[in-house]
Amino acid sequence: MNEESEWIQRARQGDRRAYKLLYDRHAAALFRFLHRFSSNRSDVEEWVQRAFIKAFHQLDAFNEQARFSSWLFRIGINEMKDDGRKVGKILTMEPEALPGTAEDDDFEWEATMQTLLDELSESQRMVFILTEVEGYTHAEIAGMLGFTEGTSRSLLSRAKQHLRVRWITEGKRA
Amino acid sequence: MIRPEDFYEQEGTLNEGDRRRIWKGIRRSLPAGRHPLLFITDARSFFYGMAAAVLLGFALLGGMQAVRLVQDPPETRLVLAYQSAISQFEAVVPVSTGAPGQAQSGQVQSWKNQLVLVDAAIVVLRLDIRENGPSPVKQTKLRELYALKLQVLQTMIENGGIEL
Repeated sequence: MNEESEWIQRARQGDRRAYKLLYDRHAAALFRFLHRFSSNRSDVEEWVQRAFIKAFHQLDAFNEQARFSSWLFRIGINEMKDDGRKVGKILTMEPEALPGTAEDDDFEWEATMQTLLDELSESQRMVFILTEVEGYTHAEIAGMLGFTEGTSRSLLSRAKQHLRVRWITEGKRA
Repeated sequence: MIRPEDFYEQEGTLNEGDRRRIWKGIRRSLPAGRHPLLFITDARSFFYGMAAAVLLGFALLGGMQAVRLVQDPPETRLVLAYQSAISQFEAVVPVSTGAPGQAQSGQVQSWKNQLVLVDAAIVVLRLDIRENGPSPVKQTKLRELYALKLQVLQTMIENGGIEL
């Protein structure tokens, strides 16, 4: 059993110190990810807090075959979506991937692409960050965001295409 | 893969103050866990309970002793001792327990009459104790009667009133 599994087991038995260890490990990553979708820090803190509280109360339902972080991210994203729904802001999901959609292996990230990220749809932005920065698989992302792996791959491909095209047309390429 | 430190902006990071504040909110919503102080309180309760159990044990022992003393007080044991002594004495000198006979001297007759009277008083008092319960006065009286009986028997022996 790795240390995180041990913390989860202890947290299930009510050990708050063990749960604090999980918090210390994952809170920063969840915060910085969610902060990409809202500039309001207090909102983001609220989502992170609620995510950890919900995760604690649902620990018995956590499948230890998956990574704790991917499960936590899903809860955090849902908290953000719930708040968005309350203010009439719906996170739009892309349609199912078309057959034959392939990932863009030629993509290279450039720091100057940061400003172009806001041009992506929320779903594309989420998938892009979760794969390219946070290192999640399409299977994990599909579980987090509630669509299929194919959709996740398609979203990433479209995101990369958009970024590359815009980066070139914006004259960013030296 | 893009390195997080190259991707995320500084304002997207959690500082220590934010981290503590968020955790404080989370902790308030978690069920109370085992706190070292609670553990200490539990241990203290355990030791208090053990001490109370020991004291209760002693109290029970004391109570049982008291009940035994009430049912079998020292006076009763003393009476039994008197009875035992008298029985053994009468077993050795059976002449003293016989009905008064005309051939014996007046003094011996007097002693024997005293013994009869004392025996009768002992019987009545023991009956009373059995039916109505003991009391310090009755126990004292009974003891005196047994002592008197022994004294009479002793006197009879010393003065030749009993053929050994």
